[in-house]
Amino acid sequence: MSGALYQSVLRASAKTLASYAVGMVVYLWLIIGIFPTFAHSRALATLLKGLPPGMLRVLGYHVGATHLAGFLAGEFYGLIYLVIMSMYALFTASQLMAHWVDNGSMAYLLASPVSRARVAATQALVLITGVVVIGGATVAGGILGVHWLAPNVPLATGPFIAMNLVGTLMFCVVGAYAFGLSAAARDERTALGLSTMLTLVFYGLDLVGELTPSVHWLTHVSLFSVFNASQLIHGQGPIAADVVGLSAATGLLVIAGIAAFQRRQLSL
Amino acid sequence: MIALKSVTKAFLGGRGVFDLSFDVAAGEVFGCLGPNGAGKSTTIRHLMGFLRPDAGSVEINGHNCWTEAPRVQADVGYLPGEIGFPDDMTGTQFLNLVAGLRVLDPSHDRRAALSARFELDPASPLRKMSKGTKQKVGLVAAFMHTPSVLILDEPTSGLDPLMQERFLELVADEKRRGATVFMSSHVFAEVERVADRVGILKDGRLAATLDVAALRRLQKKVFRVRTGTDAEADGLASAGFPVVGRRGREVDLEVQGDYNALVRVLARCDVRALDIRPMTLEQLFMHFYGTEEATTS
Repeated sequence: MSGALYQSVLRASAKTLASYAVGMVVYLWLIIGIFPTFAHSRALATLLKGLPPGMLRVLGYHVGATHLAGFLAGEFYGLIYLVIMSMYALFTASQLMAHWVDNGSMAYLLASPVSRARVAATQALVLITGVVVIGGATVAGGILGVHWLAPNVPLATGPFIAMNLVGTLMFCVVGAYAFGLSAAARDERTALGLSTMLTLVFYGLDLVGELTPSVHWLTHVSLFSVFNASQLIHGQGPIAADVVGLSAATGLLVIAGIAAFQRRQLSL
Repeated sequence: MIALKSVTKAFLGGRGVFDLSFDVAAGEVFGCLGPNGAGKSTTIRHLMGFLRPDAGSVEINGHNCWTEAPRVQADVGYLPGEIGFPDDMTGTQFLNLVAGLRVLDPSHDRRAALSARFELDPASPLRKMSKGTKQKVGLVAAFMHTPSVLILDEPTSGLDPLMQERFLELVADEKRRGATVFMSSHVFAEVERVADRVGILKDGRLAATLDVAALRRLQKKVFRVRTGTDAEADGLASAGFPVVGRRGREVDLEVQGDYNALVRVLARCDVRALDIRPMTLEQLFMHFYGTEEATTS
């Protein structure tokens, strides 16, 4: 790890990171702000009653939309959160390694006495820092948003934080495999393409597994099955095991990425 | 010092370097010449530890450039051939990053002096800089930590003639300081000014290693002279120098070594124009090897 590189890259990418974090929080506030209207909507309640249980699980509404927790799980953590976090993790991972190699600027980092392993580890730490910052901003934004925009609506803070912790760690894993591909792929486009495809496959497997009882087992091979927002926000699920497993997976994938980068032949 | 021993790196399509061996002594300036695709950049990538040779070894100051790359880099200043900088950084931020990566001792920090030498203001964003200005930033990054070994890939690319001159003066200063310099170029005249020796690469092989002082003595130059009268042009053409071109009163003479003889002949003429053409790399090949085939044998 190089402190100079960490500070420099983080500073250079601060605007992008802030944009993602602010966008996430603003969207969350929008959802919290419209909740009171939806909570009293008979039409929505009737619509949800007519949907099959699998679809409700996918949408995050299997406990209904009359509680803020369920509403957030369905309207925000079911898709918007996943899209914003995925975009940040995938784009940033491809930027931090493959892009530096593609445009030749990696030559300057490797022309210093900092080893390849330290350069790659620092870039991985920048990526993880970004994911954690967005995750932390979402937690803080959510708690403050409920306090300001829906002060009379109860939201259990503990499970809300736990859900965000699991979500953040899951996207650390997404970032870590995208980082590994970025460190090993021949160019930025290939790295971004492969990591995006893998993420879409994971999401698709989870979606199909939830919707179709006969292939429910598909959810077990999807990373996204770990983040069952509608359960987590109610304090359900093996949160401790998820935290340990996701942290270990992130570490292993980053180490694999560093190892691949150390062996790479670079035409810089 | 720099030592390549039987280095081979083969790429698809037959490109690469093959059985490449040469040494650069401490304090020596070595120019690596060759046309595009000759293997200059591949050689430099091995020196920088970016590529691992299929066979052979590459060492700088006794350290293996692949297995001990960070140790090697501590001694080296590097200017890449293709200048690519991090996005979203100013030149100042970039130079701060390089200084931070090297944990640069302020007493060895020559950023200000080098920026003044190249008339560089690094404060603007890198993506808005011209190619020449980016090249100056790259040069400051390569020289700022007073390295004992300099590896420079096409160092004058993008620089205007004045800055090219300043760069050559800088290399001469570094040589006096005792630095070892390896610089690649496809322009012979550029390295001739500062190099002690030149290595000529062709098709990934070292075609020749030449002493520059000896080369200067042996080198043929073409003098293009325009005279005032036809008779003077005829006199020049029959003065004993090989005539390699003639257009009326304009005569191209090939001169090797003894320029006094030419000056004496010219003193008898009304010289209207005089031009000296430097020897191109291709002419250098032809001069030393006669045929292209001979250079690769």
